[in-house]
Amino acid sequence: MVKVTDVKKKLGGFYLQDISFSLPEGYIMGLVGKNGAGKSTVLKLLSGLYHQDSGEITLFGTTYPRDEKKIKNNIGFVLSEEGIFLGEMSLLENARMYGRYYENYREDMFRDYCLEFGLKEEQKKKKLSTGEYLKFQFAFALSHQPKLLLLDEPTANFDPKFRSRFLHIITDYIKDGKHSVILATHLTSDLDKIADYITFLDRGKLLFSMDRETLNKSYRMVAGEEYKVNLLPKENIIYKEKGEFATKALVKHGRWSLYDRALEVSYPTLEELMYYLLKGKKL
Amino acid sequence: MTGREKADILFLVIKDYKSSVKEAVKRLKGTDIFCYCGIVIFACMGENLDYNSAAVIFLMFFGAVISRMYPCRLEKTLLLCPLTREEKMQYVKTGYLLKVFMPLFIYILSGIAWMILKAASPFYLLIVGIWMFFFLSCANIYSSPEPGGAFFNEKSGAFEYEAWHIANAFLGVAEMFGVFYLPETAYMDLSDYCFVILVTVLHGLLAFGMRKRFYLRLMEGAVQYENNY
Repeated sequence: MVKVTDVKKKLGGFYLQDISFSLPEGYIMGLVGKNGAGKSTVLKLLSGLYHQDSGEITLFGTTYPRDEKKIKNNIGFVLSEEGIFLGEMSLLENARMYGRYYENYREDMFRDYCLEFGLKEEQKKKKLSTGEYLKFQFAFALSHQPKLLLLDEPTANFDPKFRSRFLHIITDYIKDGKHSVILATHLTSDLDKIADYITFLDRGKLLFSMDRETLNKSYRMVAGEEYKVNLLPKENIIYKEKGEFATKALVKHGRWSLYDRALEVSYPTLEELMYYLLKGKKL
Repeated sequence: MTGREKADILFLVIKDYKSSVKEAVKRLKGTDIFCYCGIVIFACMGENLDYNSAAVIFLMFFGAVISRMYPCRLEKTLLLCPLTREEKMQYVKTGYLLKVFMPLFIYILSGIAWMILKAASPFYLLIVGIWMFFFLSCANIYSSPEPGGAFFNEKSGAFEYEAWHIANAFLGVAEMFGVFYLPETAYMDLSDYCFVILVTVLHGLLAFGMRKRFYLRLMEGAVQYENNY
């Protein structure tokens, strides 16, 4: 469904370098990284707002600008930036105005989602809070029934109750195996629950892009006494940090890796992965 | 693109325009308001101010303000919508034409009323109409998209662009002067006719040159996200 190959993009002083990843139908990809890592730039490249300097982006088997209309008919957006939709118009008027461009837009679906998300369809867009603005974008995106959802940091502005509902909706959305989601966020706890693929960016560079299974096979968090941790093969230790009670380390895990029984070994959470990989920068 | 599709886009642009008015007013820059007010005050300082020339000045002012109000660039939401490049271009071109012809349309309606009331001579109304058309054609090229955008990053390009715009502003002032100080057609002498012809020809050439040099490049720039947001 999505294939990004060696994409480069220069934007002022920011440089996105050699980004490659792919996402098949029916999966959720988490795009993670610190602020300024390039997550939004990648989403804007996928949405056709930016054009790559080099490399190739294939969506639904075709590319921009050749099949822009076809691609955009199948993409739904939730972007964190201001200025999407007209402030002086109500939510319903906005949805009607822009919905007419989409082949599969259904107003009844939009109204149902507004009701479900607690949005007043007659309310002017400019009166919305940040969370409501993102909910409105999400309702509109779902109502034109896209195959791919591109979501840029929506969860940070949702209340906990809606956040859980949101995660439920997107997991339901991909269940038929024909839809996919790319969710950019720095709240990795959400992705721990739902992401099938993780793409990790740092200052415009791709650190890795892999499925959760491979990720789980590749890394372990090891905690225990420092001298026990130090006995692990040095080349496998990505980064270790001495804590008050124990030393924790992220290590490369091989099929035949053996750990001392005194060490506590677990799968790293995404937050741990992000932290230790960035500190160690050894993949 | 069929006529029906073009009509659909015109309808959307008008709707978009209508809904954007309040937001667009905020986009008016302080210097614009200062400049337009200055022109009106300058014109009102003349000795021969009458109802007709004041009304014409108001219309020119109105047209110039409108040019600044709604930028001829694709709204961010439309950049995300499934539109072909051709449709996007049609959208911004329609926006441009609307900004040129809407004030002219109002002027023509007012002009017909003035002619019926014999408040102004047809020659005077025609000349002012032509000047308005040239002025608005140039001013709207200038106001779409923001000249400070990435499209005009090259210093020489930006300088040239500003120079053309300043020429348009100077001719606009000369026309204002003409609107206000030219006598009735029956009393115009050769020097008055020479002034009218010179200003009209110069403005016509300027409009032609600006359109040839900038119009297409600007319209192409107006449909790209990177140049405008």
